Amino acid sequence: MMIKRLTNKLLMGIIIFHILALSLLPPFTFTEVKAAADSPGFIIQADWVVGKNMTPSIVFTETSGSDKTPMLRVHYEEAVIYGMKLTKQFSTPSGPVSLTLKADGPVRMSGMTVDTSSLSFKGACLRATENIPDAGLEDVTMVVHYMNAGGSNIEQLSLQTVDGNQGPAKPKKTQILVDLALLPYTQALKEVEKISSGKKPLVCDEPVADEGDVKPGEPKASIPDELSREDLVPGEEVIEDRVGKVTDPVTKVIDPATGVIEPVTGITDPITDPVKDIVKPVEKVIKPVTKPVKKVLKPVTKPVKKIVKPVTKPVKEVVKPVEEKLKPVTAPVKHALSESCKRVKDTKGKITKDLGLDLIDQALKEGKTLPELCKGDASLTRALEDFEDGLTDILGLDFIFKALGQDEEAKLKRMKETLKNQKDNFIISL
Amino acid sequence: MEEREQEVQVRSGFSKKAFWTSLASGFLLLGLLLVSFGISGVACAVPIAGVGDFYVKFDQLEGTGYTFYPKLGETSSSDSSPQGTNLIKDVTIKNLQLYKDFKVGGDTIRVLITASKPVRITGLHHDAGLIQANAKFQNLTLKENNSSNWQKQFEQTSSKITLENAKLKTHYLFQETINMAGMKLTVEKIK
Repeated sequence: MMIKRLTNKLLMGIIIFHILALSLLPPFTFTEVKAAADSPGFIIQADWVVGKNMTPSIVFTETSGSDKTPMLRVHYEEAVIYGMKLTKQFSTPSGPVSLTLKADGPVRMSGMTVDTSSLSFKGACLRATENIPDAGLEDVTMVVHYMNAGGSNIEQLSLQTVDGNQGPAKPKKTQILVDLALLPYTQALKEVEKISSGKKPLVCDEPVADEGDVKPGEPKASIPDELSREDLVPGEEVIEDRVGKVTDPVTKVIDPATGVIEPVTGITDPITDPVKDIVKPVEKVIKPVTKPVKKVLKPVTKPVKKIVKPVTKPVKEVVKPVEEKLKPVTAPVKHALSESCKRVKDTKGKITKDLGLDLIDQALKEGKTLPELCKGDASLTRALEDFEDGLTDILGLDFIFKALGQDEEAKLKRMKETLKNQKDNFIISL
Repeated sequence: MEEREQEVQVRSGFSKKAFWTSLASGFLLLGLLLVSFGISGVACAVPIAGVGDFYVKFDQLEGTGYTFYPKLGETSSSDSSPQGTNLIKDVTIKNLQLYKDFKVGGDTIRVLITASKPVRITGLHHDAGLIQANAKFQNLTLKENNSSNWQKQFEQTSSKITLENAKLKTHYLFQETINMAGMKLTVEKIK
């Protein structure tokens, strides 16, 4: 009996110990494991990225592990990428799988936007919202979560999916983004505003401390480290084309001259014949104009005969006064149109990108389809049906929509995402 | 007893005549089927799968409504092999060639299907392990999604795709409709 009681107590003790031990485990342990396995982001490597009008900024982007993560957004008007390689790793039930996209030829992109959480390169210093007209980055490695390009031309593309983890090690996460990720979202947004207005350096190829005197995209080699432009006295200039480092020093000494040159002995004879006058004077000059120009344009002598005749007869019939007065409105208006519906009514058959996005937002907010937004008005409902069909067709989404089935919310989100990427002057004609 | 054993061995032996007859009749039937498609011009809902990986080559492909995502699928050598799914809404392909090589004895037999005229496809579903081409995209987007399903975590979309001088190692091919005028099927021995 005693042994049974002791055994029961021992078992209870073991169970309580395990419960306590489990409760003491940090709650984020499992999340970390998941995040590590998912390995968000795809790595893009490039030997060189040369582009026009590069503008960096900070945004919040969806990743495979989070809805809103602070990212460094780099936008190029045009860019050419040399030696590009993209790698994405997946954790699948059958083990790790890697997707690699490689271009052996140059990759030409127009209107390229890249959202990155980690970035390393050589050749420039990126400051928030500051445009770099001609940017050249070398040895670029970045962890990208979103990439978009209006037009892209990839020469010698090779797209492959293989077993195992492939690709390089990810670069260290950009410090400014790590700091922002620790802040609550609203506070992070305020910080981003501050960073953007102050044009603070976001990421550089060298420590920020050396940054002060170097302008973005400017080659640093042109100014010595110990001398800045501000140190120069007025009138002084920095010599841009300086002699570089001596790479191949002269080692052999030229043989010294040993033989003495003999003195000149023969004297040159004096000049006896002076130089004769060779230049001949100009004999004939252009003769002066003596005869006046005879015929110029004839003056207008005859008056214009026919002019417009003056109005003699007064206008007989004027507009008749309105005889019948409008009847007072007795029936109340059944459906008040929303602001977006009124805007659709005013569009005259052309829906702009902004209006389209507003309509999709409203539909998402109210949990409706687009045609249901203006349900009270048959013509507007038809117009919205046409808008939905036109947009789906133009954006090439109908095939994807088939795969999404009846998930209207997912369709609207996809439609919004695709419409967002269109040009600002994008118009759907109904 | 020895005679009996010999007799049994002879009966279970490989019959070349039967093999070649059945292979030839199989290809003849397949050829007739494909030729009928070629004459009518249109075939509907055509899946080409279960023959292992095969190659698709062409001079140019122009398509609209392109989506790419990764997947694990069956191949001739594995139940679960990493692949990429390509969905294209409307496609026109110039100088299309589909081929599959079979090892028969010591020889390699290639079954080749070609189309001398542009092939028009709607609703293309194509699973490939490798794509090699010169590619052009309009409105190209590569993005991540916050999903527990690994296949939905990454996708590549484009409103228009153009591939030139392409070679694709293919595992599965499906078309809602295909118009393959000028089709030709050949079976040839290659080195």
